[in-house]
Amino acid sequence: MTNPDGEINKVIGKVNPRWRTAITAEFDSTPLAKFISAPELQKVEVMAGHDDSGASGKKSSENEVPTFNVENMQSNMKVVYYSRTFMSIIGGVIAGILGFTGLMGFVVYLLVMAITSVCLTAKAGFSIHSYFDSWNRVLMDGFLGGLLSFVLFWTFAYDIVHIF
Amino acid sequence: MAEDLVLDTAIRDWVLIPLSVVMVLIGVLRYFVSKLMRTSQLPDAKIIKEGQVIIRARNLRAAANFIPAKAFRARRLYYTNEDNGLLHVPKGQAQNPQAQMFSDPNMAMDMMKKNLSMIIPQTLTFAWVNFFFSGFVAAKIPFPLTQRFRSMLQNGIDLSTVDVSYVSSRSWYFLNLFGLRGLFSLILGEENATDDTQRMMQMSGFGFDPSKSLGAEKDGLDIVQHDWVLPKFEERAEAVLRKRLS
Repeated sequence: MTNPDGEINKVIGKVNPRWRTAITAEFDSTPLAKFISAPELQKVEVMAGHDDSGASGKKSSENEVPTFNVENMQSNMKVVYYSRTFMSIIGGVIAGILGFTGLMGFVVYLLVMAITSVCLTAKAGFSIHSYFDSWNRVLMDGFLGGLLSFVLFWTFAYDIVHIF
Repeated sequence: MAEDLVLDTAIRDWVLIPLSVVMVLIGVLRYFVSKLMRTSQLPDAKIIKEGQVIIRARNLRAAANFIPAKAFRARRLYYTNEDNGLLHVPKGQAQNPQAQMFSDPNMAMDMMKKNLSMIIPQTLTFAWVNFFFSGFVAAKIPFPLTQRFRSMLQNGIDLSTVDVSYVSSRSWYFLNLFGLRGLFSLILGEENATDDTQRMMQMSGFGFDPSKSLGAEKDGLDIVQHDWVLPKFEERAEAVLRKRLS
């Protein structure tokens, strides 16, 4: 899988090994759970999500059954959160160094978040619904949480470079 | 109006940067100190067992529709039957979590340690900032704000003519306190010392009333309507296999 964004990949690489141990610990409790989630494990390797083969098999039939793995989705959300935080910090530093003030800085924040969303979508192979339950997860989550970090680092970089 | 204050570069070198660096370092230090102080208490085998049973029952409930009706009924009986089902708790065995907490002094001790490791560095840093840097205009936020923010951003400066976007050192401390949370979650991993509230929830969850959650899970399992979602499962598998062969 080609990664569109080096940072995101780094973050995902940080999250996943921890998750892999967690998932193996989690699912040896019942054979039933194993039946449901065993095919997921390979998918977790890249990015957790639905089982591909199962989904494609179901698409052909008329009654589509949504299979859904909550743990994998939580891990995905964590990845989204990490990449958003990372990008907001980097974006804040860049906005500060370039000396944006006022509304312009927030426009930069919006831009950075949009870029992050696009990159996450590309990372998910443009099939959001096999990794998240709705578009809002990719587009909206962590938007406000990153704003505080953004403002802090924006102020910090701006002050260091421009004010003094 | 003082439109453009000229700030000394010494303020940058001796107030702004040290303050931020110290905040980050104290966050890291607090993380490791709380990690050191964390006692690894031996979990009670009974509690672990009950927790696992609940997880299994929950998995069964979530995946009920993917197994045949007969298999589901058998499993449900295994969990919920009144004689020796796994989820059935005999009356009178339930342990009061409050009493358990009092009987176990380690628990309260742990809680206190965690609180202290949170509060002490914050108080110390605040005192340090107050003592050394009170009254400095340390930074300027790059966007305009209304007068309402004056008390928030210029804590420690009693001048009403200074433009609101200038930040006093004490307020810069507060900004750091909140804004660095994202950075900590990046450099310290997900379980950093800053989300103590979450850990507190887990702590209180540890002394949970097992009989109550077992009972709730039993009720939940009892009312599950089984609806087999793969009725033509075998035909479909056959079709796929035939396609493979031909």
